[in-house]
Amino acid sequence: MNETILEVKNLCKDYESFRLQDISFTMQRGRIMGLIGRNGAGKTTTMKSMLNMIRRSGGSVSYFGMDITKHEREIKQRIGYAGSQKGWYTRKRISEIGRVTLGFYENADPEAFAKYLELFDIDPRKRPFELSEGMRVKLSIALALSHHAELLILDEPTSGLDPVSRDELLDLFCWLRDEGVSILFSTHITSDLDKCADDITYIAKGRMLASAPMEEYLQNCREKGLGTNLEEIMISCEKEENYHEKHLF
Amino acid sequence: MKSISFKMFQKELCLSQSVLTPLFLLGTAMTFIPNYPILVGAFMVCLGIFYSFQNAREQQDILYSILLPIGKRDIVSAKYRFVCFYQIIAFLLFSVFTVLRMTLLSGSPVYQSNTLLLASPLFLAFVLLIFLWFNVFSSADS
Repeated sequence: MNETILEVKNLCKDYESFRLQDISFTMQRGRIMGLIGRNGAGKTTTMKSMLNMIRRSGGSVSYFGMDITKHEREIKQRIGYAGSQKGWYTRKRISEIGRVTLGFYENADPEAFAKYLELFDIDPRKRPFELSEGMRVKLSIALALSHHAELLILDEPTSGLDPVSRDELLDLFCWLRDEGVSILFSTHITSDLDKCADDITYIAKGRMLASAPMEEYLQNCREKGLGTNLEEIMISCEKEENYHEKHLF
Repeated sequence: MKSISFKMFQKELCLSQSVLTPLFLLGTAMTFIPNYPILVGAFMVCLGIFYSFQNAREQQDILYSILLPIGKRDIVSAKYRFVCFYQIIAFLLFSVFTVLRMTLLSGSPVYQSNTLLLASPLFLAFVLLIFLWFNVFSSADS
C-alpha cells in the first residue's frame, strides 16, 4: 500500500527572527511519521505552513495528490489536527462541540463519534476544561476519526502527559495505523518515536537534517557513531552543529 | 443541505459567542428610562459583541475555524454576519421602544420634564452612529 498521501516540497517560511528552509518529505498511507527537533526548531511552523494556517514563503504542499492552496476544502475534509494547546471552547459541552463540528464534514458519522468517546472513556456531558491534557488530545482524535480522517496531524500531542497517558496514546496511534490511518506527529520526546514511528523527519534550526524510514536512519547514525537511539543521536547532532551536512549527506 | 454560511453562523451562536451578547440586548430597554443618557443602551450592545470576540479569542475560535473544511473568507464573513445580526436586532428593538415612547407613552409626565435626549428619530440616528463608530474602530483594531 505505497500510496503517497502527503508531499511537502521545499517548504519555506520567513520570519524576522527565524527562517524555515527547504523542508521536503513524503508520507505513505498507513504509516506513522515522527517530526522531531528541539524546542524552537521549526516543527510547529512546518505544521502550520502545511495546514495553510500561515502563509508560506515558498514551496508546495499536497495531500492525496491535491495542492493545499487550490483544494483546501477537499483536503480538510480528509485530515484531522490536534495540538498540545489547552483546546477550544473549553466551557462548552463535548456533545455540543461534536454536533457543531461534524456538521461541516461530508463523511461525518455522529454514531462513530459516540463510539470513540465511549472507547476513550470521555463523557460527552463534560466540558473540555474538565478533562486532562491526554483526554483532550483523545477528544481531538475522536473528532477527527468521526469524519473518517485519513491523515492525522498532531502537534506535540504527548508533551505534558504523564508516562502512562503517553503510553496509552502511543498504543492508540499503533491501533490507528493498523486501521489504515496515517499519523504525522511532532515531538521532542524521542522515546515516543521508538515505540511507534515508521519514518522520521528531523528538523534543526529551521532546516531539515533527515527524512527517512526509522530503521534506516538509526542504522545510518549507528554506523557513523552518532548513537544507538534517537535521543543519543539528537543530542550528538545538536551539540555538533552541521554534523549531518558534514558526515551524512 | 445547509450552506457553509449557515453552518458558520450556527457555530458562532453555539460555540463562539459569549452569553453576555444576547443578555446585553436587554440594554435596549434603557430607551424608556427618563432623565438618563439612554445612548448607553447602544454602548452596551456593542460591549456585548466585544465580549463575544474576546471569548472567541480565549477559546481559540480562529484556530478551530481555520481547521474546518471551509475557506478563510467564510470565517471572516461569519464574523461580519454575527455582528450585523446583533446590531440589526438591537436597532429593531430600539425602534420599537422609540415608537412606543413616542405614541403610547408620549403624554407621560416623566418624559415631558426630561432634560436629556428622548427616544426619537434623532436618538435612532445616534444609535446608528455609535454602531458605526464601533464597527469602524473594532475593524481597524483587528
